[in-house]
Amino acid sequence: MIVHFTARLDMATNNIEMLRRIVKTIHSRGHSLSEDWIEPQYARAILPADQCPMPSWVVICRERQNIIANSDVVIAEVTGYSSFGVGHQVALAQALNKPILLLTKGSAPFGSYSDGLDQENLLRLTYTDESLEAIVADFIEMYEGSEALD
Amino acid sequence: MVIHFTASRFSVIKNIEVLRAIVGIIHKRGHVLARDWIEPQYHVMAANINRQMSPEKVYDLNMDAIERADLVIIEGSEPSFGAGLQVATAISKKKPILLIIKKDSTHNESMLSQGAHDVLFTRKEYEGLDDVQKIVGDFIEENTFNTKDLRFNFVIDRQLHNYIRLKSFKTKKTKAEIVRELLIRDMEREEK
Repeated sequence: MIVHFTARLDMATNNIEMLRRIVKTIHSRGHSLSEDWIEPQYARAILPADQCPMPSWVVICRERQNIIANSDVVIAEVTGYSSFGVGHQVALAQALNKPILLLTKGSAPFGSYSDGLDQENLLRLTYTDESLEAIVADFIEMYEGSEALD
Repeated sequence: MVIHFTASRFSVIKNIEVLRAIVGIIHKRGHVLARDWIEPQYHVMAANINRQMSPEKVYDLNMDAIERADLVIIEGSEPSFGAGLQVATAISKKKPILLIIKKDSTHNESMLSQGAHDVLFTRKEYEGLDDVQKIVGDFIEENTFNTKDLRFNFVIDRQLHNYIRLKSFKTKKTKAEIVRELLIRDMEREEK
């Protein structure tokens, strides 16, 4: 299965271990990420800009539709007020009728836009440090075996 | 840059540390893998999970990865039809390719891969992880270019200019878009 996993870009710096835990859960079940962005982004955050240039946002945006279309499920970390990019990708995933898991840690003071999303194959779950892997694994398990076979 | 890194499935168990080291070098330079398959494959094989993608899907994903990649790196210490197929495909797509092989595995290597020669094809042998770091790092550095859309000056005569200008007026597209579409059409025709 191909899993499209997205989160705010700064999480690759500020919360890399949490992202790695989610990726490890995906990999440990034998599934692939649709896109390998987390470790390169982490490297960009810690190395000088001229050693690790950011790819073009035009290219990144252009590829989103295809990347999500070719994924079987989508997992988005949407804690707090999240990001335009994450929201955009969740909307693309909804339009493509992909199963979606929205992960939040705690809740924003005034709630957030993602609290209002309501769709049959969209799951919005709050995680803790202890429950993160289990929540991701359970979601993936729901859709294992249902990916399109050629 | 997007880098397609591939190896035999059996290398994933036998040489996982080397494969992880190569992935680490790619990531440390801020580049991305075209396809995220190594860790999932390792877990599937190590845990004997009965979950494999269909061969057709594996083929499609690899061909798509080569298409999107700027560079191709192949760890070829274990004999693999799939690796050979991907080298040939990458050469036909004009992608720079690095084939690296462990020195004590070269007796397994086919004559074809030892003899392959193309200006875009590089074959290197390694002994340990330090060699791997240097070989892969140097290859990436020699082939790094900015992934932003590229520009160049395009000099044309009056006849061509008038044609593009008229087409731009009729279609309401920019001259650059028209030229891009003509190129893409020509590329697709060549691929057929």
